[in-house]
Amino acid sequence: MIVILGSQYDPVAVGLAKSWADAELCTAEDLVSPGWSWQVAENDQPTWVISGNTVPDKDVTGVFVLRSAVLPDELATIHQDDRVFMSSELRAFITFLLASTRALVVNPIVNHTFGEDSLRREWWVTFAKKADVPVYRKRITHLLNARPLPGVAWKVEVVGSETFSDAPESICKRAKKTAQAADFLWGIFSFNSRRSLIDISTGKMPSHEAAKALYQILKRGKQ
Amino acid sequence: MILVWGSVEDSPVARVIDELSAKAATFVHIDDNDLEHMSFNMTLGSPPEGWIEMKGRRMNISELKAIFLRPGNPLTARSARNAHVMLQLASVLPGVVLNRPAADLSNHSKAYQLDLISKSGFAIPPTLVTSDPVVAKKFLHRHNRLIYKSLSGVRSIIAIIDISRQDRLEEVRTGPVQLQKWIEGIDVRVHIVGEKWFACEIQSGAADYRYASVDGKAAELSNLEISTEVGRKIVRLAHYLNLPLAGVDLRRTPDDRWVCFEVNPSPGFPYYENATGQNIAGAIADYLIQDPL
Repeated sequence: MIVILGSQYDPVAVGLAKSWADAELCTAEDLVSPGWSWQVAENDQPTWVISGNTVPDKDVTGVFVLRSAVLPDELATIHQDDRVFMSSELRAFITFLLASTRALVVNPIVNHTFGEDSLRREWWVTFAKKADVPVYRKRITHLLNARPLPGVAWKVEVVGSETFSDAPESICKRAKKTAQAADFLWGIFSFNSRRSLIDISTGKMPSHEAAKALYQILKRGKQ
Repeated sequence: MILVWGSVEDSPVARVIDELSAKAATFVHIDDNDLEHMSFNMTLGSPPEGWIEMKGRRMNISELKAIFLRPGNPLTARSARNAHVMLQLASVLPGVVLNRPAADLSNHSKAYQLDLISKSGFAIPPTLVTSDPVVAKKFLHRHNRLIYKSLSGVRSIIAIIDISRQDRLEEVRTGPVQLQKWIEGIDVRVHIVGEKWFACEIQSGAADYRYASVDGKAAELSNLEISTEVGRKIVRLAHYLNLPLAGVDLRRTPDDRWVCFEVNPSPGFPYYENATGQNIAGAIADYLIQDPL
């Protein structure tokens, strides 16, 4: 089974759960339902709750992460006074879950966090440097009329060891090297006309080809 | 130049400022009010370049050699934005940063950090995260006495659950909750600053000595000598988590095992200094002053 960790209100998450065979959406409601069982640092038989059912971790091959947090407003079954607290608890739980599952996680925990939060600019610039990939030096000032990012000349989707783009091969290589330095298995890497990396994102719907490749690696799981 | 960021009302900040002053170190102190008036022009590359201006002084970022940060809660949108920029700078600045913002995050998920502690070679208490009352009760019957504590960094008072209160475990259905085996022994807090350690024993009848007075109990702290082997092991743990400054919570069992519960990236060390006479702030100041190159 492939688990999509996302919101029932996110059309990307819902769309992938519908189009991928043997994929299920694990929602905020699942996260606060009975049936979860995980021991820390033990070789036990942990269990998920997915689409209302208890599922052993051994039956999950891949987890596709499409959230960075659980919003209090998603927790309709939790008392209103407890929703902010439970939102913090669930974020902490998801961090532990993604680090502990034996399934392949896309993308895995980076700097002790997940989702778009693991893509902070001040972090990925160091990954790019490690990969010897030039980065656009974005200037920030105290002035509120911030200079916009330069135009995007190329976007490269990286899925595992594959790239999907009409960019030149050298640009695709830069994207792949940066992804490998960051341990990312999926991302959209944007470059300017000077071939410098401007931005990395996982917030958009994967392209059709990238989605097919994602499905394959999530289905295959950890080798 | 050393930057100290935090309120003087926060005793760890005040202590570090006192020590830096006593050592005639070159430093600047800012708090959240100063962030409101901060100006800057920089690129956050590796290394970062540019300047920041605070308290009427413009400083080239290359002048900054070390940062000690305990940010508060900015009250305006502008100071929140500037605080965010300072955290970004603290992430990429070469030199000494106590502590890097990324390293702090391991403590935001207790179960996750506990797993890292175990991977570093330390014993940890058996810990279960569950929303299944049947599983929770089995865990209780295996260990007889459990501690409930929150999973996140949100501070909470722990609760004890024994067999007589097992019906409370029905409440885990809306979990997940973190349950941990009660470990007999003496509480020990070890502060790590670089390669140095400062150990403190805490004698208390309370489940959580930080809240002993709430239970009508006392907590007695005293300086503790620990072996070099144990000290170095705790230093390695802190470094494994990229925390050159840390407050490590352990329990020493009656059979002399060391069980680690948590590594705190922003320890409130003055409480322990006051009781033991340990000069943790002095060690922090020395660490900030050292030449990283």
